Amino acid sequence: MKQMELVIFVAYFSMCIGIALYFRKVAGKGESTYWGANRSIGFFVNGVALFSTLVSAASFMGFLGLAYRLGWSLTTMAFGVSSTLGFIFCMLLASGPLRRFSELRGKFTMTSFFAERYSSATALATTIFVLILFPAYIVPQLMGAGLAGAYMLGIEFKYAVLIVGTVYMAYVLLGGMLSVTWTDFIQGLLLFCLMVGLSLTAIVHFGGLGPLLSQAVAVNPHYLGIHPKTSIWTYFGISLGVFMFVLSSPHIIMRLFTTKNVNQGRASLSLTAGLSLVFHLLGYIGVAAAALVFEPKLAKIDNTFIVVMDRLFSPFMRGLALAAILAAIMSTTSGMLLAVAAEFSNNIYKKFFNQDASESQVIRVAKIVICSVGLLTMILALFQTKSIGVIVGLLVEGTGSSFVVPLLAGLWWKRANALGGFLSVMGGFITFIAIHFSGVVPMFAEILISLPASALFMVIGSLVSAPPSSKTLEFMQSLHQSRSLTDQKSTTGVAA
Amino acid sequence: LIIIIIERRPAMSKDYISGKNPGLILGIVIFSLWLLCWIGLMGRFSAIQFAGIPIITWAMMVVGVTAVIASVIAIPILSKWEDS
Repeated sequence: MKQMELVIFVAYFSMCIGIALYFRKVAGKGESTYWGANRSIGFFVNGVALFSTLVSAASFMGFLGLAYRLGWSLTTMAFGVSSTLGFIFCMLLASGPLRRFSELRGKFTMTSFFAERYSSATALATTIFVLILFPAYIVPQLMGAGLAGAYMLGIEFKYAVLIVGTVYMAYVLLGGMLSVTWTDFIQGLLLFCLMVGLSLTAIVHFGGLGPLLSQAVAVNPHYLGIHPKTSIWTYFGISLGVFMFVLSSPHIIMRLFTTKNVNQGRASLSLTAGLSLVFHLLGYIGVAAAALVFEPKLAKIDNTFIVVMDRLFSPFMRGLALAAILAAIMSTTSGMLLAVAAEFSNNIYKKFFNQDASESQVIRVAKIVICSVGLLTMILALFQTKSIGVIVGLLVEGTGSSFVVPLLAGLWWKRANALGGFLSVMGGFITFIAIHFSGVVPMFAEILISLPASALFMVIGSLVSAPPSSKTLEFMQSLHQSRSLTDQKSTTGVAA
Repeated sequence: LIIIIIERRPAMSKDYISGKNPGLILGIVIFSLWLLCWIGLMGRFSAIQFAGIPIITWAMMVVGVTAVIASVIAIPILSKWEDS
């Protein structure tokens, strides 16, 4: 057991639990606080928290490993630029109307928007897919936690998984969105500084970026270029998948509902986009290149970050870097766990089992879901399966294939209706699964077929059935206008 | 863009789906730039490099940085449009 790393490891976990305990009483006050942090989060905190939600085990392990093996250009295009554009698109096209929807209706999930814009069936299909996809996404994150913990602390993989799983589950359970956002904020600062800091340290260590890159290219001639063994369609498929995932993932959309107002939400998305770009471009270029120089034949590419950190960081910094890896994992998993709980308690429990459920009952059910899914994912993570990057990549594409078309069409196409929405969600997901298992396209290129299929289902379904009601259209119009909120506030004021 | 064309909405319309909505227009421009980079520079042009880095990677980085700057500038413009 390494003492310095252990001290920082314990301090970091204590901080997470401390934040949750601090917000425990406030979080229990009602759904608005538990799911939406009482709409009290400013743009800077939300922006950094959103960034840490995006950066996961895959960012420190799988994707960085891809930069090591397949080159920095792949990760720049596929993760850096695409995630940045996903946040920008979310900011331009979705954040304003969805934030207004949440405030007008008092709802906190993307599925609630689908229920109102399309139908309960579309909302139910979305909820079911979230309940399948998100726990499956959490499993490789916990595997990453196990690998990092085992390597850095010298403890067994299973104990590292259980410790990390218990802590993140505890702070989601205790503090809801408030503790998730504030822990994510601190985790976001930590992981950004550590990745970019390690890259800059590597650049200085090798006497500048030029000398470092020339040594890296001597080991892997395709480090800066396009790897000849990777299909162009794979490059494009991953890029499109990440773009669409960031634009439409329910756990990212949920964060828009926590900000003080529409403009703060938009500013936070711009900040997140900028952070993501710098993290993937500047952070990856130095770290992956240094790993190539230090370990030209690294067998387990998920360890790229750890190899460089071991060589260049002091024990204290190594402890912080371990905390950063765990931060990346826990920030993503906590957001997803909260989204799963929100989906189940609001869209299944409240809709089908107890329509008159009070806010405290809904939160109680959510806490049961958090415990159940948390434990289930921990157990599944103990059985290590495929590479972290592969699992995460497929789940990212599955999410994008299912949700992006109904989201954008729901907000921007007046003719989109219940049948179109339902077929789009179902068609996108089923096509993605069918294409993946048939193997007709290279891995990660499935979305190039499933996304247009989802759009086609939307168009056909909407055109063959009746258009949405005038009430729905009026509501849609109001979501695009600032005065809808002003009107509601003045009405509430008059009533009071 | 496709929706505007299909529904033949006039550009001066104050409807949210119109050729004057700054969010929609900026979204279309950025997405078109991104897609054009892929279509125009991937295939056989992927071998062209500048300072050892493929030209498509440079182009993508330019699109990313431009999008971030444009999004910051767009926040007050979007707000003004929605207020009106």
